[in-house]
Amino acid sequence: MLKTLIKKQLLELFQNYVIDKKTGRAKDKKKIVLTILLGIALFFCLCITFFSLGNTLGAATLNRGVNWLYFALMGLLSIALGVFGSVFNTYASLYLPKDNDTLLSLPIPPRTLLTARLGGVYATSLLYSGWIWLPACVSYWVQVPMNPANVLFPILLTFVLALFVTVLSCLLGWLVALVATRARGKSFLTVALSLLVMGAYYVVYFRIVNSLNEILANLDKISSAVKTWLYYVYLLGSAADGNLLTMLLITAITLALAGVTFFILTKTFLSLAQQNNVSAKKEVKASEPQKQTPPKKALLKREFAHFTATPTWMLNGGLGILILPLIAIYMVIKHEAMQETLIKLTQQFPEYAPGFPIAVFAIVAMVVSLNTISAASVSLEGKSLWVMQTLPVNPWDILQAKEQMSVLLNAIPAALTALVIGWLCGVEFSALILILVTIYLYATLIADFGLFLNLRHPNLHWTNVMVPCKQSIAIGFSLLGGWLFCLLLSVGAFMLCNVTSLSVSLVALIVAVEVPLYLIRIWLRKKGTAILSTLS
Amino acid sequence: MLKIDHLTKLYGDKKAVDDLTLHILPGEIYGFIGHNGAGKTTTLKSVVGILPFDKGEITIDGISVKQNPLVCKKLLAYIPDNPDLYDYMTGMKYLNFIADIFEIPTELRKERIEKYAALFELTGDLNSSIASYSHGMKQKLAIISAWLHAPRLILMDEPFVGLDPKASHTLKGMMKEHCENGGAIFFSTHVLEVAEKLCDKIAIIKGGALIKAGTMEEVKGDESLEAVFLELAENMEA
Repeated sequence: MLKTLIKKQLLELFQNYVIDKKTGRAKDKKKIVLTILLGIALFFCLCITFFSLGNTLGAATLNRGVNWLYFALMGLLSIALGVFGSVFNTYASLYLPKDNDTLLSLPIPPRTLLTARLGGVYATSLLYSGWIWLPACVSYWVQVPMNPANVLFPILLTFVLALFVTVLSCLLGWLVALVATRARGKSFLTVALSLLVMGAYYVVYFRIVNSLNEILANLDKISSAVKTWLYYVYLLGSAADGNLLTMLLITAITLALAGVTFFILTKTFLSLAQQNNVSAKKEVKASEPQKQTPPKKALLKREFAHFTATPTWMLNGGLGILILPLIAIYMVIKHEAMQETLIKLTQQFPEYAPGFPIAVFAIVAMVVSLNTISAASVSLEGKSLWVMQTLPVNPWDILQAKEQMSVLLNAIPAALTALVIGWLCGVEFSALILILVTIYLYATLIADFGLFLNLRHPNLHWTNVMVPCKQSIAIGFSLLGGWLFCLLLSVGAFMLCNVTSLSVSLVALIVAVEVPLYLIRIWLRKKGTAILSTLS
Repeated sequence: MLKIDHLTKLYGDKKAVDDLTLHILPGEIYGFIGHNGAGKTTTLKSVVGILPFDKGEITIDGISVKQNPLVCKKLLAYIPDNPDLYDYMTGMKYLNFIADIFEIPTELRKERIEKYAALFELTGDLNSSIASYSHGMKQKLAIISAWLHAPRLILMDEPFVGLDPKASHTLKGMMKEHCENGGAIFFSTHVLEVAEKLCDKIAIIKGGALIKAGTMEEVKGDESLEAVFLELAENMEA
């Protein structure tokens, strides 16, 4: 039974690789192999970054004989990334799947169901923590002489580390579930708690990365601090370096922690799963119908109601909305340092100075590309899509409502952030206006591109809301495509600025955004609406 | 009011609906019966415009569903067999949303919501999230939303499933009242006793093809509908 449940769980997690979303049938073997190879290629591309970080850190630590510290620091990063990657998944996948009622009604012991769902969390933890840990191991083997212990133990620790990450993710997910059952405004609370976790991750990650030189200069201090305050991490580092005793110790500790966590989760699983699956009934009070709203406005209101009631969507699709004002605030705080850097750059590269304002667009557009709200919006209609399909509503109006919500949520903070950065950098008024126009168009393009991808790769039959919000092809392509296009646009406009004026480059930038936007809108109007009206 | 002419719908090579012709007049309650997978839901979805069909023509009050889907959708309401509504809304917000789409004035929507919510004893639950509703409550809400804009034609797929006896009785009354006022109802059901008592006309479908259609007397004569249905189904198999 457990095997079947785990298989179902993993299939949900990796269904993009094996199931054709259009037909709902299994892909042919060639397609599966190709998709898996693409996934692996993507994984390795991102691993290169951490491999080079491992080389830098290794050069300082391994040469000085503190090999354990190398693994301890890389392990700490792995844990941070692992927890960050899987914690959002944990709450939703443990307690909120749509098949809760069906599975809980079957003769499946709750602990078996929980174990299967934990299998999914473990797979996600393994993926995220392995992203740093595996390149760190390779970098280590390149830099030190290999022996059976220092080859085998780091590999085994990949699984131990993932288990530790699972423990942390589960405890955080359990806390979120516990609070959510007692609180009103669950959606925003879940978002707030998850953001807290994310904030903690960034503090750890950036402290390590930004203070790399400081760490390297104070290895002794750092070593003793890790031994005192992060003994688990010390054990991890020591074990990965080939120490059998610490290897056994850390494995035993992790298994014990996993056991305790499992015990806590099994004791509360049933009640939390049942309570969280049903929204608390509010006080019974006769309510009054609202005033009449025009249909188009009603559609937009519906989109906002859906978005604000779905924390997973808010967190995964709308993160950029929060990051944009944070960037603006950071820039205001650090404006003196930024202006000094700008002056230095202008002095060092005077020939490139006219193109510097394009960086304002590049920074803001990069964050705008994080917005995948529309890329999940069609799939999130799920089984209730029939409502829209049977109402006398033009499908184009439905798509426009989805587009408008994404643009409204994104373009306003993006424009304000661009204004702040532009003003602090002394960008001319006329150039700033052109940048604002470009950013508005770019936010619209990202929204329409997301809709295009989601209509091409829809999935209405999900059981876990994480699937359309985080694990779909539409989301992946939307993020990567957005970043790539933003990079191409920025580099292109910057280079153009060397041969012509800033205004001409910005106008060219507007054209370069407007053309694909126009083409996608034509597709959405003609083919997108036809797909939406018959999607099932 | 509803004319289905030579409707054919294919799923790959399989004919889900095969050359189906049905005409439903104003004031008629038209029952649609058949085995699981006979093509009832496919026919209903084709009429509503959710499923594109391969051959034939469907018109509502002479307006083609294919050519003018929005005009047709204004004239009809549809209740599926398993109404998945918006879990992220309260019952009242959902009804308001539907009323907004049909541009129902504030006073009129208030009057109708109060009337139908009271009939189905749902008034106290309208402020609750739909996610907390039982299947029957969702069904009631879907029925209220269908009646909210006073459509000419109402299509229902297994409308009595999940309803308590009182709600079933209420729904039957509403269906009769709707048809007395010149509207029409086309619904599928497996409950043959209900079809027998409620319907003016009936159509029996098997394997996508129409076996028999007509007034209740024409279809069943002196026998029970159940006996006729089973006999016809067996004859077709033979």
